Amino acid sequence: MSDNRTSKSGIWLLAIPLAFLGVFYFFPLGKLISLAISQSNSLIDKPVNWQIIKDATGFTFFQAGLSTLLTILLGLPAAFLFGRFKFPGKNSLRIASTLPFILPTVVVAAGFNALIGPKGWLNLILMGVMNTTNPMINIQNTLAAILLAHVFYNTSLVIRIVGSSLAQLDRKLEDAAQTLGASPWKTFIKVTLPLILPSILSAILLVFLFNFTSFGVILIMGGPAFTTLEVEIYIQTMQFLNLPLAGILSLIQLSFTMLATVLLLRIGDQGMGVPVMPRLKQEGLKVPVKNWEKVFTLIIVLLLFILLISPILSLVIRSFSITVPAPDRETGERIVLSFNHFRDLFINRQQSLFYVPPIKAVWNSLRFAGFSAFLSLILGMMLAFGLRFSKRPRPLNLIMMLPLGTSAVTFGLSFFAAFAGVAGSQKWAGLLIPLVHILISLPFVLRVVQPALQSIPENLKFAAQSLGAKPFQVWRYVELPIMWRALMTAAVYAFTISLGEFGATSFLSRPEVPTMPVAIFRYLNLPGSSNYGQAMAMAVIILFVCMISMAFLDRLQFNPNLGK
Amino acid sequence: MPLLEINNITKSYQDQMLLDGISFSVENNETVCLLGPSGGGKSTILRIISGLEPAENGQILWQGKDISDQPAYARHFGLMFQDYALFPHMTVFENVAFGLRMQKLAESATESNVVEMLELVNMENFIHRRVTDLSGGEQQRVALARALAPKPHLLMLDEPLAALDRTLREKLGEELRGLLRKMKIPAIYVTHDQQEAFSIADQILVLNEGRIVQSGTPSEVYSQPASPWLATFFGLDNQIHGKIISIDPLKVSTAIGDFECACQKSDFRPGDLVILVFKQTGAEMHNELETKNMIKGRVTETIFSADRFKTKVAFNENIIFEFLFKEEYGTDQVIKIWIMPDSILCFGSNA
Repeated sequence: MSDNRTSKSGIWLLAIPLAFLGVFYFFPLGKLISLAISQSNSLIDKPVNWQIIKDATGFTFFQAGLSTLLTILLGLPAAFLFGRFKFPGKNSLRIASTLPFILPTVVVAAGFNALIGPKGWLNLILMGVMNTTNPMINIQNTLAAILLAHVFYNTSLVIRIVGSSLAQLDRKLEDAAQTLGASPWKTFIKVTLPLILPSILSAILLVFLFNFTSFGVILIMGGPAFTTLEVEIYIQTMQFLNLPLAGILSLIQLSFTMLATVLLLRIGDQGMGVPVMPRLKQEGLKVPVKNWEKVFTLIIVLLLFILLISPILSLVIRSFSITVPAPDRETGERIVLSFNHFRDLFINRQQSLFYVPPIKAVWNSLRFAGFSAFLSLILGMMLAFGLRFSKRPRPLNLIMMLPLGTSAVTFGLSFFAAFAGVAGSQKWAGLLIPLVHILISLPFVLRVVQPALQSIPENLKFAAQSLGAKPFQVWRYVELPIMWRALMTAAVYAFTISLGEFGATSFLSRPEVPTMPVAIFRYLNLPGSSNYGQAMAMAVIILFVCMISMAFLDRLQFNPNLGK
Repeated sequence: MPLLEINNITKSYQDQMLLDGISFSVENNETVCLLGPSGGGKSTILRIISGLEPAENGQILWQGKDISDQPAYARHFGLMFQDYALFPHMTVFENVAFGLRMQKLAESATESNVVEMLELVNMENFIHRRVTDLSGGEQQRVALARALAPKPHLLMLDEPLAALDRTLREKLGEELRGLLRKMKIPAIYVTHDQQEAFSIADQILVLNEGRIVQSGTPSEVYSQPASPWLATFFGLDNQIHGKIISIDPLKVSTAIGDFECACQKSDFRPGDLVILVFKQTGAEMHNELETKNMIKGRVTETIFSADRFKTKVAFNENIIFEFLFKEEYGTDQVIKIWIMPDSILCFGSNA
């Protein structure tokens, strides 16, 4: 009797989010696919299109492979350091290494631009020293810039996944190997490595997936010379309005990302978990004693600090400084402290990119982020609770995770293809953007909320019921209070995802309805130091909000398993 | 020369002394038992002997040679972990073969050795199973086989039975005892369970707060605990403060009467404060012939235990002792009992 009732309410709980996915995920995606397939014959006949597809796919794999390799080369030693040693500065480095998780690509791009771009610090200093007006180094619009940004983004991921599995690995297994006569090297090869291998594989796969679908970094850091599938989709759509070709590119992309996502979930299912033991904080971590340990620690710590901190620091300082002509020298400029860039955000200039003052972009972004965080939390909760009632949660779970394997650009394109009629109007752009953000955040929300719900012992529910609590009361007075940390964490994630979302938004935003990431991208692409300064100022605003979110998450002390 | 000699080992953890000058030795074919409450540093001693952790001070001598700087893998000591630490990515066979393969033994010899070890622990039918599918008791046997397979010079066992339920613990404890005797392998056995220690050890070392507080054969240690703490640790809870009235015979006055004790210690003087411990088995029903050590009490609780009745007797409002009687008494019955002088332990008290 009661079982029947709960499964019925379970269906109702699932119906709304499923309908949402149907209308805003499967319908637009279906539309895109049918569009691509219906015109595929005529498209493929043209060798020009073939070349585009081949080049974009080739370069996507090339840059993703190379970026992943470089990330692993730095990430694995760093993971080893974090998983096995304690050293001064570890905690601040740990906090800094969570930054890339929530920093939007445009902010990172702006950060690297502020560091090594033509108007970046390194060049300003070099130009001052050499007394010239030409930037000395320019890695902007090179492959190196793309690789650098990708390593910045994903090293933390490797540290997080592999480092924690190394730290959690039951150290007694290694001890056992040693007492059985295995040297440290043999112990590592025969015991440690096989046990952490799933986490290494899943880190590699995840990093590859992120690099494969990277959009903002390639577009902003790589410039026009480099087109991946994602960038090509964007160009074909926004510049040539060649939706069918964009659709085909999207399908190619989708098939690879889906494959990678399924593989990832597989590894996750097989238990990426290493044999763990309950341990005291920091137990089993050692201080570097031997010379090689000290040198190793120093090198890795320095590299990470430079990689993680310097672009952020450059960005902040750059946003508060302007260049003025230096009176004492013929060429060259002087840098002075100023709030001009932030003040300019409130001014609607004649030659402005948008029809509204830039501060409107800040307001739009915050508004959209709040709206989509709220709704994705509601939908995520409905899904999590509904899935618990479901008799066969596995296929449903898989459906929920499909958006995870869909790139932001594909989301944007499918929305564009399905809702092209309404996408043009200002009113609808303001709705479509947060809707697409919800789709992107939902899998993350679910992956935070669902385990938290599952970790609540069922006996608590039974106990509450036996004390007379109705299902709603069980939820309100038992489950909700236990889960609130997870819910807040999920909400903050959804908020920051929306705040920095660039890929999908770039398809849907209108000049009257700019968001911060879109504005930063436009400003960075324009000449003139005022535009540059505005990009910096706006990036700092996002950075600031992200840092507040991060501090908040740190206060919550809730550590979701973001194996993703 | 003893086989293994531990000399004044110290170790601290987070500025607290974990091991404070541990010294003992192990002779050939001897099973030494480290007994003590959890968290007393017993496991750390094993980790130091096996070379997994350095000691801060002191020496470890093997056949007279200092091996403190030798790495764990070169020591050839077997260690069986409390939670077994079986390699989860290997089968039963691969686990047991691990140590042999590290010695680069030929594969055919490895195989026959593994089979032999698994037969020894009655696990030969599990040879190709995954260790993650085994029950606790089965894992314990595999762990033992793995530790024994490379024929270690010394076997160390860290709470080998602690993770098992009681019935299994008793059964496997017996098997383990038989195996250690049969293999004639010197062993150091760590446990917090006195029954286990008493049944398996040739020599017992009782460890508390980083020091060895008593050592000797099981019967020595149990019959003559060296301090009130040890008495309590062995479950001798019938303790009462008193003051010495006379020496020879040793007579002590307490809140519940005067008692004569058979225990002899040369440094007692009249007026000294002492603690008396009455063994549970040391009381009998009133016997008309006895005039000393008689005491009247009220029965508060009777619990049947094996062939005896565990009887709580209140002598005043605060002092309730527990004795084992052959007869059953009803609650609130007032009884008169005789405390045997040779069942009273007497400790000097600083309080």
